[in-house]
Amino acid sequence: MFRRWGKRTGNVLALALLASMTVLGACGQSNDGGGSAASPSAGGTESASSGASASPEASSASGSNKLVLYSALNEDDVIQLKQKFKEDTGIEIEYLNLGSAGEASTRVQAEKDSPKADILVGGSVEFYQPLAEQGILEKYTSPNAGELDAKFNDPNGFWQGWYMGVLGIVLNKERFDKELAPKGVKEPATWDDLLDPAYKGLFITSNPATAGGGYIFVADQLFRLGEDKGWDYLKQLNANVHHYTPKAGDGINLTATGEFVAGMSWAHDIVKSAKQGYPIKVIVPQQTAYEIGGVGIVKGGANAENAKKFVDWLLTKEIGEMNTKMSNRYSVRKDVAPPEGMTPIENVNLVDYDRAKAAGMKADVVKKFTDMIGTK
Amino acid sequence: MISSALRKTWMDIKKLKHEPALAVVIAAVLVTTGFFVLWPIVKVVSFPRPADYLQLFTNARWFQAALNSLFMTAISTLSCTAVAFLFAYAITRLDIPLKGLFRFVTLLPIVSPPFIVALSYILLFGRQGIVSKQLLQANFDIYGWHGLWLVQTVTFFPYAYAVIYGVLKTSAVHLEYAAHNLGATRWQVFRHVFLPLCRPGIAGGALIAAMNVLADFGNPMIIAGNFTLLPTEAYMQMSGWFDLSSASVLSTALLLPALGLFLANRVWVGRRSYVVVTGKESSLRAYPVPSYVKWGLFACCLFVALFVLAVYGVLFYGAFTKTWGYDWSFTLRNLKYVSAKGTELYNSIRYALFSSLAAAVLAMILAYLAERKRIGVNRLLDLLAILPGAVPGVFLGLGFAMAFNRAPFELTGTSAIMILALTFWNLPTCYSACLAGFQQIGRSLEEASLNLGAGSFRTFRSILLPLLKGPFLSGLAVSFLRSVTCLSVIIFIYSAHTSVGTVSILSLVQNGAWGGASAFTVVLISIAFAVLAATRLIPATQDRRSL
Amino acid sequence: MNAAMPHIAIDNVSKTFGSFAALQGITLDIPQGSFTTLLGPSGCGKTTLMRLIAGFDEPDGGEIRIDGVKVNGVPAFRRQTPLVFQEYALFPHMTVYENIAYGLKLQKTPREQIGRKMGEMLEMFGLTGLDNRLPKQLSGGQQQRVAFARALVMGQRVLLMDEPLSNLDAKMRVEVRSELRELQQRAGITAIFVTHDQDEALSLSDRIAVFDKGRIRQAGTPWEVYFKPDNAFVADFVGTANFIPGEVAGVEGTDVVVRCAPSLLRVDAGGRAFRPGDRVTLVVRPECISISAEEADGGVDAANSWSGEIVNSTFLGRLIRYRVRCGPLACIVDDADPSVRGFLRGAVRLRLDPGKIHVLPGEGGG
Repeated sequence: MFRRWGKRTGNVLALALLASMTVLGACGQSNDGGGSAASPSAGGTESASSGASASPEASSASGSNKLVLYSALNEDDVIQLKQKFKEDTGIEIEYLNLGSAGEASTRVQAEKDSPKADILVGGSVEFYQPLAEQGILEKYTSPNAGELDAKFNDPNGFWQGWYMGVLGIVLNKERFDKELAPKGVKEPATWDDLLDPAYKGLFITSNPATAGGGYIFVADQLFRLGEDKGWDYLKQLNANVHHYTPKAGDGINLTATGEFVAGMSWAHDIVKSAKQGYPIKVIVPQQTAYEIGGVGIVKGGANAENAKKFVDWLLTKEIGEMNTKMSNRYSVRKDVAPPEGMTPIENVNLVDYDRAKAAGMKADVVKKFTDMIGTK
Repeated sequence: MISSALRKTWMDIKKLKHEPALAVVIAAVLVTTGFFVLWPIVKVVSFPRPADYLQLFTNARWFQAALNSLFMTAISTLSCTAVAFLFAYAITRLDIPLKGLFRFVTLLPIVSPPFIVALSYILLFGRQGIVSKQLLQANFDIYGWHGLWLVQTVTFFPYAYAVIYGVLKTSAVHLEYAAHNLGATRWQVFRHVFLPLCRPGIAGGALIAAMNVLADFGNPMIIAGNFTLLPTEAYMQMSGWFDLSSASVLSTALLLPALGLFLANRVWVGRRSYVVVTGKESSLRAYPVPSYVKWGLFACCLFVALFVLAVYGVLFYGAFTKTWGYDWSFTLRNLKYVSAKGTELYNSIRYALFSSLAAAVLAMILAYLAERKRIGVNRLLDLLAILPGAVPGVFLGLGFAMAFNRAPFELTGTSAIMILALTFWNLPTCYSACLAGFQQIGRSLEEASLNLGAGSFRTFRSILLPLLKGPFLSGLAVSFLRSVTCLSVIIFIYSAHTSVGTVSILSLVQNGAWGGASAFTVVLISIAFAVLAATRLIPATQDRRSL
Repeated sequence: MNAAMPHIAIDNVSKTFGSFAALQGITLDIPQGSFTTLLGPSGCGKTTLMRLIAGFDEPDGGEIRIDGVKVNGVPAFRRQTPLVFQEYALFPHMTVYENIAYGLKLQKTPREQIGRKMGEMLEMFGLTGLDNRLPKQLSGGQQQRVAFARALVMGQRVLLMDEPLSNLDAKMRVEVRSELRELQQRAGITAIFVTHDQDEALSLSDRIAVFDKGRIRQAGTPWEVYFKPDNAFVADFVGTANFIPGEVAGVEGTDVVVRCAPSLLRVDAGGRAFRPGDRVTLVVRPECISISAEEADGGVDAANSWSGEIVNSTFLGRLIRYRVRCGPLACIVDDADPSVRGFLRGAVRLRLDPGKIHVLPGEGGG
């Protein structure tokens, strides 16, 4: 026992020593910003950053073969973009998938003093505007942006829209056909159809206080119907809503697995789940709201030239088609076909969504909304 | 009163000049711990403008969230502690079958990554749930505080169990015999002798459970419905609206009740310690309980065990089905997500291993200094070691991101920041275990060793360490498991090359790829258990010599 | 006893815990090779002193010297003062062998030497064959022997013992006493023994230091402590004593004449100076009074002979202890040889031998 423990102690101590050495090693590494003896995997971003702080021009002038990308896209999509970009330009993308635009923005802000990323891609352009105001983004207007609708281009040139997502209704066909169709309820085609009392407790949507999509939906109703009628609509809808989820996407899977009959979320996410084989369909109602997916170059990034190449590349027809296919979102280019299973964008009568106004009234709207739903 | 206390502290500190090595260690531990615990907290707390804090009262939604958080913490802590006590009692005191299963059940929920288990609950107990709708035909709605209560109880009772088990295992059986002998009935013995002796354990367990419930945002996100809670709000303010200021306000609001709980615990338990290992050894079998009590408790344990197994069973099964929750036909397709993520899995295991070891070692040193040495700053060390437990994971992660992002402490994007954050996040778990261990080892054993010529270090190594092997390893194991499955702490500090498995799970859940997320979770859990088994660190197998 | 320099010297040592003065100005010399017992009720400071010697605590004032070298501030693990703990403090995770060999291993003793010494120790303490057991697999007596073996294995010249016999049964305790004494003398060890049991103290020791409330009330040989107590506390704590209050009626050379309730008594002053009129207390051990039935004595009424009435009697095997009322006094009297006479009843005559009476200044028995 004595001797056995002695040996085991040795092992534990050795492991502990190893652990502390890794920690120390990694600390040292970050201090001198260079070598990566203990954890080679951390080396990549490190060396990128040291290059950045030393001489950004020099590294881009020397024709670096790299691009560090922060993404708020789905990971599968990033991987495909990475492969395709390498094929087309020979440039290697190092990406960090941050899941949501909010996290990506938080990250870029936190790294403001020594940027690690060259480019930020994905997520609504609303997230890019404040970054531009903080001086985190680099101005760039792509030559490929000229033919696009004006609403997709930043008038100041800090961000660039390259895809578009719309809000839609997700419907569980199995439950609908079994429970609601016999009662004579028609499949919902408009936002107003959701007010049918048949949906009471069977409809789910997201909370504007926490979910970006949830807020765009609420703003949509206010823009679509005007202030007063808009609130009436929301109040009536509230009677049908089972609960408001914290995230915009939460309702899709809950509807897909039959917990609820209908829900509100981003159409492209709904299509994605439908393609997995769930008995759901997407409905894009008239007067729906939309988000413009953005891309922006981070000021002070190490590979500025490659970042510009990437923006140009994103706006080509080929990549527009590729993105539409993989993410089920509309391209900003008119010559790209709509995603499979969705109406052409010309036929969708988009609401006149005033982004500046939507951003300005957010605090008041959320407060009023919170009061309205009470403790539901 | 205060001045005399200060003078005493100063006297104790002055005495340290006789032991320079000890003084250096203490200074190093104080500086390191203070730097990695207090500095990030200060960073977060000082981020919002003072006016932003007023919103906590003016914003009805947040105020409600704060009340809800307190309510949920209170009821869940009660239920967690009760279930944990039930399991600990059954496993340590009763001669019942299936103990192995019960032990396993108390480890399983510790390794559940956020989000994914909540989905299992919905599938089982949702409005169309397999159990609720199809089995019981009940119109049961899980969304809301009652559903969340159930989920939080099952998710967090294992943390309380770990602590209570440690204390029950070593509680003095002969005192119960003494009480019986004095004419006390079984119930009286239980109330007057057994429970008071377990008080430190129960209080410690309740504290750990309360802290976890208070800080959890994964389960409420999906289960709570319209029942808003502070951590969920904080997380959504950051990830949904990138509103760092609001997030900091909400996180800070969580700190206060957490600190309150910590203080209450210290007051209630006090410096009470019941020395059990004195070096005079005896072995007594536990006093038998009547068989109806025994089998009644067994039935309760079995019920909870089946419940947990069902939840994880669904998760496991879902990993191999075509469409999660809809088309249950078998497929291996979901595993392709896993194979593409080798680096993340490797990182998960690596970081978890290093951080849990570092935490266990640091905790041992801290516990030793705080409990065994009169150095004037004992209370401060104690506070520093337990404080990270009062800080919600998201808060700690955010604090690390904010505190170590510029020279000379620029750790952004390194493995070091991941390991350090996880280490300090795990510190309270390991510390509580070690502290309880120290409190149960009589001082005379230590003195005997000194007396025989062993120095402080040697005594620590050959007497205290072996006797603390149990608490040390259980702290290590729990830390390892929760590190592998931790998301909250690392969500703001991982980078392209230091991403871990839970991040992949999160993005799969966000993509609606629940099958893939389940598969990933199953693989991650399996690897975690395999690593534990490989190093024979699972406490259940280490009972060769009970204290 | 023979060495000029005491092995362990305690010089004006004080120790307080908070506001509690555990030791106040303790001075005690412990000679080489002696068996010294620290005796006293619980809380008197005897264990505190032992812990100071072992180095577990440091004195607030005063000096402790071992072999003439001041050890204040020397850490416990350098003092070479092995201690046998009351609860034994056996390491529960080590076998008997590992427990005993622990100190040797710390000293980096060569392997074969450890083996040899261990063999001797196991043999000496009757632990052969138990070497692979864990402490919890041993009986109380066996655990105690392991504790002794562990403390003695390194052959140090000091042995500290903190009530090591208190966990044994009565018969064994008596057996172990003589073994312990023999062992100590054979090895020539300087032993310090803490106990509250006066029988243990008297039977084992070369010297006894009687403690009360943090002070030494008397230090001396067992005989001195028993028969010539310095004060009522010592007389009362060590053994059983009758305290008879009186007043000095006259001084005659080295003797004093004391007037007490039943009669005048002439006793040896024990080197103390008294003046007529001083209040004194006479200390008489129960076995120093002889008892006989009243009528058998024929009613001779001498100064040192009192008549009394038996109140009760206790049979202790080798003697009978009587409680006798003599006027206002109650005396305890032992009949050392009751084998022929049996129990006495009713009126009895007590005879006090003046040579066996010890006189203390002041009033009050204790």
